[in-house]
Amino acid sequence: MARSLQEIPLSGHAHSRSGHSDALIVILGALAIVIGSSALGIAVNHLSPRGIPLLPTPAAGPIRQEPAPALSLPKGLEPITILDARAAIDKHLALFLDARPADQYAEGHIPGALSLPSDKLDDTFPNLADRIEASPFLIVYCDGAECSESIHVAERLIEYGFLGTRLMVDGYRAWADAGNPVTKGSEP
Amino acid sequence: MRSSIVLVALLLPVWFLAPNAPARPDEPASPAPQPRIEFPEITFDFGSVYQNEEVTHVFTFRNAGNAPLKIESVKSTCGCTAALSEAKEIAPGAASSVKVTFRSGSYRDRVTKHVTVDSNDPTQPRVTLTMVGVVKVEVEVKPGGVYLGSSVKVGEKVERAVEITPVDVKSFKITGVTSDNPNVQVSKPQPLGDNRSGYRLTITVGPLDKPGRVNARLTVHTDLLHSREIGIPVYGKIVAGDSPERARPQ
Repeated sequence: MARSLQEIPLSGHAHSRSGHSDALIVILGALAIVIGSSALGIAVNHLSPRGIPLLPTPAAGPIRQEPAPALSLPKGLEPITILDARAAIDKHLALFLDARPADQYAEGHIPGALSLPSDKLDDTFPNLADRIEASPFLIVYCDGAECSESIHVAERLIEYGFLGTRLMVDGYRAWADAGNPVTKGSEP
Repeated sequence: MRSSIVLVALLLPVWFLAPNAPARPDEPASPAPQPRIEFPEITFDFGSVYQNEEVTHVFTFRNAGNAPLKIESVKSTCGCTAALSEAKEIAPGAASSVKVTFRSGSYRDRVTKHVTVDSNDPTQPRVTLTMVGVVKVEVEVKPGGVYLGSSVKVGEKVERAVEITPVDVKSFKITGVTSDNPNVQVSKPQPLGDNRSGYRLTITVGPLDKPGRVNARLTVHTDLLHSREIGIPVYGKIVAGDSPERARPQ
């Protein structure tokens, strides 16, 4: 037969009024010690370099801060997803334009992409004008969603009348991370 | 009974402290020394700058570990340069820094630039430093350049207009406009009128007597503090009279 906590004799004076009072003091004292010692243990565990995690933690990544928010696109500039960009290139409908600096282009770029660095746009454009004109669609990219080089280049191309210009917002990093082909060197 | 409860309560912390106990058979008695890279700040907001200016910031860091910290690479993304200020190997407890310079160039509005620092810290092999801020412009040039495509025929003359309007200033003056190509001429700046502040330039290309490319650069001189010279590129292709056109909108 089950008994409540109050019914369990805690000492030889269990049946006396003073016995109940003593038991209550012991229980409260024990609870205080448990809470205090638990807090101490958690604190030591937290401060210890070898402490164990008490809550599940996400897998450690190479970059520890939150990614920067994507830039808002200027009016008239249309985005294109990596999937659609890949399809357009596979069907030879578009030309990639890499708006990053030339050294980053050389370190890795999308195969077939022309280097049209944002900071050298005025000097580079005339040399590429014929090839740019020959393509019905242009897909401009830079490093990632938070960079603005591709926006600058794409805006200028639209001003020049290349209305088939699209912006691959997620950029080169996302393209490469998705397992799409990349190549190195200063040539397309 | 009372003593038993107290004993159990006192033993509870042992459970929490167990990971520190050296007696566990599956762990070495003392951990191997390892480096730890520690940056007090990883993001710097430079506020606002104008185009064609430079912003430099030094990110300091220290080796908070107990083994030498080796910096394997410091790489920057578009528009930034970054360099390690001192030796590539930092002793435990020692400090060093990464100097990052952002050139605002032709950027505008809000910009975010990253620099990655790779090291032999096993728990954090890459740290990304960030420079954020706003690049302001004093005037807006629309369009920023003129491209005629292949629409100009031999013997033909074409005109295009460019407007320069104030953005971050109330008003400004154009003190002169020059062209580096005699086949590309530019008119005297005309006020926009209709209660609009700014100027209109009329650019004239041709007539040219033979096919070929036209590349020119116009330089607009102003009394602006940060944009004393504004460059406007002009491109085009002069084609023979019977060539197919690829006209570009104005």
